[in-house]
Parts: sequence; structure tokens; C-alpha cells
Amino acid sequence: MNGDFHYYGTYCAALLAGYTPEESQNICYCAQLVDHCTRTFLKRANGPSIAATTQLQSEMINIDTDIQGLQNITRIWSAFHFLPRDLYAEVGKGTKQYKNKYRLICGPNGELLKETVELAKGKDLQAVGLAMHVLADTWAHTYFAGTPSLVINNTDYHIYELLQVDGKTERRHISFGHNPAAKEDPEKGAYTGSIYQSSENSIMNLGHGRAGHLPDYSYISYAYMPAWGDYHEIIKNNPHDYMYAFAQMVYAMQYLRGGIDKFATDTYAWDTIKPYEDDLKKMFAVRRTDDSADWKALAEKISGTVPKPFDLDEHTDEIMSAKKGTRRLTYLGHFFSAAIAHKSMVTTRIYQSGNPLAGKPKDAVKPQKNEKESDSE
Amino acid sequence: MSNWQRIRKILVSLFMIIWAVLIWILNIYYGTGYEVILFGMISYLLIHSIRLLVFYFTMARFMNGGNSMFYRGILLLNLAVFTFSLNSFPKALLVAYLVGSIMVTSILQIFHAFESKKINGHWKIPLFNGILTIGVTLFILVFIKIDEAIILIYTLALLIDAIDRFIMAFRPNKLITIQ
Repeated sequence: MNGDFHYYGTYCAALLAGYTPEESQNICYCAQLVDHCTRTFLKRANGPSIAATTQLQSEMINIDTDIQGLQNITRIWSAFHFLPRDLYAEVGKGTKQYKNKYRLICGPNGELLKETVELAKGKDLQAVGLAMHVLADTWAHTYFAGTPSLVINNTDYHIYELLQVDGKTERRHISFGHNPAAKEDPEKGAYTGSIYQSSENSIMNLGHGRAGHLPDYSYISYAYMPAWGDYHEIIKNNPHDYMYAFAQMVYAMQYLRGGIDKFATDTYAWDTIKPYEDDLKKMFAVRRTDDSADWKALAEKISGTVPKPFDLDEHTDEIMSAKKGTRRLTYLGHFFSAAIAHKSMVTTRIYQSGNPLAGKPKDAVKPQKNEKESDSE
Repeated sequence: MSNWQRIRKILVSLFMIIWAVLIWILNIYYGTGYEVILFGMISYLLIHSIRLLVFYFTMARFMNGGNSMFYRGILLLNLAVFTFSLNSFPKALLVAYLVGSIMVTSILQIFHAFESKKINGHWKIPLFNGILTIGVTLFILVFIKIDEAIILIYTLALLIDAIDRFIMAFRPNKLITIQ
């Protein structure tokens, strides 16, 4: 998802879930912070490097794609941006190595999502914001994995935008440029994507890079053949998925706020968002890469308030001036704790499923052999 | 590029320089320059073909378009076998093969340089390297009439490539990914 959804969208969802504007401001700030909390930022903010929730391009340039480097990349990206849907998925083909990568494919309503939301229950607003970022990304980044993998994340020439013209669905071929300086033009269908790299573990093959920014644009529906899909075409309908993401965020925050006893996957707060459904549909239909203005208008419609512009350094002074033993109690300290707890949970679950790609967590419990796999072996 | 990747690039370039010098020395003292060149080429092609085929059978065969890895692996394997068979052919054919492979490699390098230019990547040194290698090859073939012309061409091409790798090891990498 782009910053407009993570920041302004989360603000609106928090308001609808019953949080006050001040609480919603904190939640949306932390939701957006997940896309900025790099090792570089942590060094500046005196934070622990283990709390990193993303990586800059300049940081990834200097990473070795040896086993440890890949595990570090996988821990961050799988935990915060490409939460795996099913760590025990029946793959039906492939070596163990292939299956391990396949089982990291992201998708909504997985068991890990339930654990993510439940982990934030009873915790502070920073944890809520972090959980909402992860939840939203499970919808946008579906079908891609948070580990470098050519055989999972590659796309080929078969990728078409689905356009509604006079009531009919038309296909327009999308060809990606690879010049990072070139501007994207949604009207002309000009997009930028990562260049093809035949090396399996190249960081060019991390996440949805090969599909460019398409997963993060709310307006676009497109058809493509993912590398793992046996030449079956998949249709990704972002307006539909973004609506579901928003409705699920509202539901999740209603649960976290205490209004609902138990969190269930595949459950949405349709009744709550109904008065604003048309506004959302209109917003997601407009062909543009930034919906911030419409989100702000929606926030004003809901509560008469708008969130202040995102300022990455809003809370850095507090933690930088805090004494060593009290940094944990600062605003950012709470966020770092939430990030570490979430990353630890996801890494543990991946390890316990018998998948070594995210490495071994510190308090590792021996992985349980997948019963179905042991039968076939 | 990580520090270890830089060190690896430097070590590979040093190995290539040593290899080029070794070819020349062995040719002078034992007259086995051609055999050593062939051995190097066969080893390179064999290692790369095996790597591709292993990757295909373990991973790429489950991927859309993964068959291309298999075809490339088989192609390289065939080239390795063909290169091995050149030992029993007249020297003129071996010379033509080596000149041809150097030319093809250099032309591909020039092509990649132009592709890299389109995406704001490094292109000047690879372009210069490709043109220099072609120029040196043609110059030696046309103007320097010695029996070991091809060995001179091959070792010079290796040295040019080694220096190119050495320089690239110290250049900042340009990364084009989507975040």
C-alpha cells in the first residue's frame, strides 16, 4: 500500500472503529512509520537495529545475499510487508527448497494475520498502528513473497490492465520501463518495474518489484501470470481488495479497542463503513497514484478533523534526549518494542513450520515436521 | 555491493590476471598456450552449465518460463563439449573459434552497456571495455603477424576484463528496485 492508505486511510479507519482523533493520529503515524523505520533511522533515533521494519535501497545494496543476509531480508519483509498466508500450504510440487519459498507467499486472512492482530490486543496505540500496516499490506501484496525469489516473485510479458470501457472490460498490455528516474503515467499505462535478474536470490526478485508499483495503486485491476502459478492467469482487483482491507482494518480496530470479544479472519465491518462506502468506491476508482486529498476529505466528513502531515522526526527528539534506561518508555520506544515483538512472533512461526528462510529465533522451539509432508517422504 | 562482494570481485580479477600471465608463460616454455586456453574455457562453460541445470531441476522447472534455464544449461554444456573436441581439429579452426567467442562476448558487452544506459546504470566502462577488446583483436590480427597472435589477443582480452572488474569493485552500485 502507498503512504496515503497507510497514513490517511488508517486514520479514517481508526475514527470509524471508535478511536478519538488524537488516538487515531497516533495509530496512523505508527502505521506509516513501518515504511520508514530503517536501520539508518534507528541509528539516528538511538533505536535498536533489530527493530527495523523496512530497508532502504542503499541498505540493501550493501547486504550480502548469503544465507544470513537472506534470512535478515526475509525476517523484515515477511513480517511487516508480505505476511505469509499459509505456512503449511499444500504445494503439490517442488523440492523442499521450493516449498519453503512458496509457503511465504503473502495473502489476507491467514493464521498469522490473526496472531498479528491478537498480539496488539491490550497493547499501546503504537502496536495497533503497526498491526494495521501489516494487515493492509496482506491485501495489496497478495501473491508475492517477502523473500528474494525469482521462481516465486517473477512476472513475465503477460500482464494486462483491465479497463472498463462503455460497460465492457478491455485489456491493455503493460510494459515496464526500468529507468528509476522515469515518471509513471497511469493515463498512458507507463509504469516502472525492477529489471529481470536470473539469479534466484537477487534482491531485484524481492516482493512485488517485478510488478512495479501496481499492487500499491488503489485504482488498478490487472491480470498476470505469477511465476508460481503454472501459467494460470490471476486477476488482481485492487479497488475490491482495498475496500476489503479498509473494512477489515475497521473491524480489527473495533476488536482491539474492546468492542468485540474475539477476532475472526474473513470478517469485515461493512455496517460501520456503509455510510462512507460510496466515497471510498469513488476514491478507489480515480486513476491517480495518491489519494491523500480524498482521504483527508473523508476524515473531515467522519470527524471534522484531519491528521497533521506525516513528520518522520516528530518523536525523535524525545528518544534522543532520553536517558539510556528510559528510552523504552518513550513514544518511539513503544513502537520499537511492538516491532520487535511482532518480528519475533512471525520469525518463530516460520521457524516452527520447518522453514529456515527467516532463520532461527532466539527462543527457538524445535520445528514440528509437517505431517502431510512426512507421509509423502 | 557488500564488502564481501567487492573482495570477491577483486579476487576474481586478480585470478584472471594470474591466469593470463600463466597462459603466456606456459606457451613460451612448453608451447601449450592453446591447450591451457581451452582448458579454461571448458571449465568455465562446464561449471556454469552444471549450475544452471541444478537450478533448473531444483527450482526453475516449477516456474513459468523456467525451461529457458534448462535450454541455457544444455547450450552451455554443448559448447563445453564442442570446445573440448577442438583439440583434435586444425589450429585454424581453433583460432577462428577463439576470435569468434571474443568478438561475440565484446559485442554483447557493448549491447549490455547501451541497455544499462537506458536505466541509469553503469555503461561507460563496459562500453569502452567492449570496444577496446574488439579494437585490440582486429589490430593484432591485421597488423601483428605472429604465430601466437591469438594467444596474445586472448590474454589481452582477459587483462582488459580483469581491470574492468577491478574498477567496478570500487564503484558504487546502482540499484533499481521498486519499494
